[in-house]
Amino acid sequence: MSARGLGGARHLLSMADLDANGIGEVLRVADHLAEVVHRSIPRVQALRGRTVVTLFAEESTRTRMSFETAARRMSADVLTFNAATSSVKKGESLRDTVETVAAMGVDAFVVRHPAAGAPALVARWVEAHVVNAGDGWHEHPTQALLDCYTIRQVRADAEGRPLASAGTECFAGLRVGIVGDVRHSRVARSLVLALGTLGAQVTLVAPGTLLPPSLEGWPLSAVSHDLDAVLPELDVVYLLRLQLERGAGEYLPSAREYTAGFGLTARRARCMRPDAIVMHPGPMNRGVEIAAEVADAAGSAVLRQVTNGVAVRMAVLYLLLTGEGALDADELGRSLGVTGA
Amino acid sequence: MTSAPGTVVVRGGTVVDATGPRRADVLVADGVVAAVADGVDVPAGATVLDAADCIVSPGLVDLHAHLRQPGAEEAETVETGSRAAALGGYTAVVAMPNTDPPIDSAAVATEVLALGAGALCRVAVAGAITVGRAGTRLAPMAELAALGVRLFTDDGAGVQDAGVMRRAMEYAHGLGVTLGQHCEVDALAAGGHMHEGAWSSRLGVPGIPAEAEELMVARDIALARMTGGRVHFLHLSTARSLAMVAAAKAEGLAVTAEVTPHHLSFTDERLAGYDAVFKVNPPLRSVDDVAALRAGCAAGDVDAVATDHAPHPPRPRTRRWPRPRRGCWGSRPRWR
Repeated sequence: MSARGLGGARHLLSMADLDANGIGEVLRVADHLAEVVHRSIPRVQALRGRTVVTLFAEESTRTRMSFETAARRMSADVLTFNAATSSVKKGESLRDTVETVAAMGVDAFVVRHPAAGAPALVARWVEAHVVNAGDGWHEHPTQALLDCYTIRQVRADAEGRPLASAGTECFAGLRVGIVGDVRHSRVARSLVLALGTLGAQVTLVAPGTLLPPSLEGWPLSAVSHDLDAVLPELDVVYLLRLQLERGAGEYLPSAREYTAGFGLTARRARCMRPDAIVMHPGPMNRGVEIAAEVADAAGSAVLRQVTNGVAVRMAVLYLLLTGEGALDADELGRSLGVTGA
Repeated sequence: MTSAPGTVVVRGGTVVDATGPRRADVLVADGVVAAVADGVDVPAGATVLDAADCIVSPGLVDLHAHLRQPGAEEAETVETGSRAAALGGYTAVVAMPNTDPPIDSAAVATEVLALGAGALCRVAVAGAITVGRAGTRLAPMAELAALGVRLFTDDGAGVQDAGVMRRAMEYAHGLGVTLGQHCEVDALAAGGHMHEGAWSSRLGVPGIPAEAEELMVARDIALARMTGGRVHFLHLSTARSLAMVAAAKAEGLAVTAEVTPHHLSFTDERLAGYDAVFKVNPPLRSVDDVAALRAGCAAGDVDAVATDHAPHPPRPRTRRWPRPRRGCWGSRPRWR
């Protein structure tokens, strides 16, 4: 069991909870689970009898559906807590809500909340496992994990290698550019930590107002305000959404000016390396941070990110709830109820 | 308060006063400290208090306590606040005026003074600078001064408008009273929940930059120079704020400053666990700021340590990280 892996851990709150081995373990388990999706009955029994609650206090359809799909494919029972239709409207506090739900017998909470630190508070209040599905500007660890999975998958495909044989060595020295509203981005914070742990070279590209006040301690290779200067060198171009609903609007003169300086336009896409991977956590503002034709082009891994999200979240739930870690491929296969290699 | 017994000997404790800590007994005769020495003769009829394992000291004075009454009695009352203060070694506290209604009128001041008369320690009352603490119209400072109010502050917020602050200082100068400022420029601080720096950036929490305090400190020092008014800076939290105050004093301006015990003890790293107990206003600052404040206390640049005792009812603080109301239980654990 790795010292900083999910097997045996109580929670996944931050990418700082995982070391390189821990990340590798999630990716390996996700490999086994990825093929489940293609079965006629896409289900394994590994989490039968467990109850997973999605507690989303912030608007999200995609991430919540991804987690619920992941839990159901593992045969867990899923409860959905929707803040908009709940007693939260009557003024019930988060703590009261969580304790009430926990009293019904829950194995894991998947928590999304507009306030940074909310999943950490939930973790203090309940016995169950807690997965951070996005807390304010702070972190979104399963997004970073599925992004790493996607990069590894695309690189393995490009080299003609089977995914099972690919470890995490593809990340060493990989040049990744994270472009856009880093200041307000939980995806950026998790991804920088994950890629730093795996040895990638991360460059942040953003206008001055959209960087955090301090980058002290961040494992970065460079920071730039000039996308055109950085773009030709990148192996991965990761575009962040302009978070207008989370305050980005006051930080820029206009979306148009943002696109002119930092949007991945068709012209800019032609300056990328031919094998560069274009990624975006979604939902995309087409025409703002990414041109529509670039989003749909061959180099775009955006849809793969979504597909991989289910497998990665299945892996996270499996590792946390069963405490099984560091199993070899056959043991893992049997434990997951996945037959065949 | 009950009247003191005639003759009391406090025996066997550790006396701590301006000359330092030492083993000594204290003789109080007719309400006056008559002797402090190691081994005091006990006069006939005297009451002897056994102070073994206790600290015996002159009563502490807390210049800055939120007693929450009127308006927020579920958090604290004058009576309970005075009890906490007495337990912490305070014999006098200054009640801050950001109550509901605020202490911006003779009526409310009279009410709080009356509550204080029945409390377990002496309670002095501070008045607001502006009506409703809204920062636009001056409060009736003369009327409040006639009731004994000597310190005026909109604490909980700073006076945002330089023109209003200038007039307040000129008016206060005429009355011979002191203005206390909670230095926080709303335009820079708004939306922030902790010190803006490496930790806030890592934790993804909106920050309150040091400059939100420092800009108002700089402004009010300039206004004090301009008006001759007396300004007391409440709960200073940054190195640069204290440096500006030290320079202003060297220049001969009537400027004083207090710091809180928590700003001398804790840094912004305490917020890493998102524990709202450490969410205070001004926020816990950096390692360098704490070091500078401690050095400033040792060097005599800080005029007082004031608790900024700011209680809240328990549940609202767990409900709304990062929007719980900011506060810190200051009075009682004073000696730790």
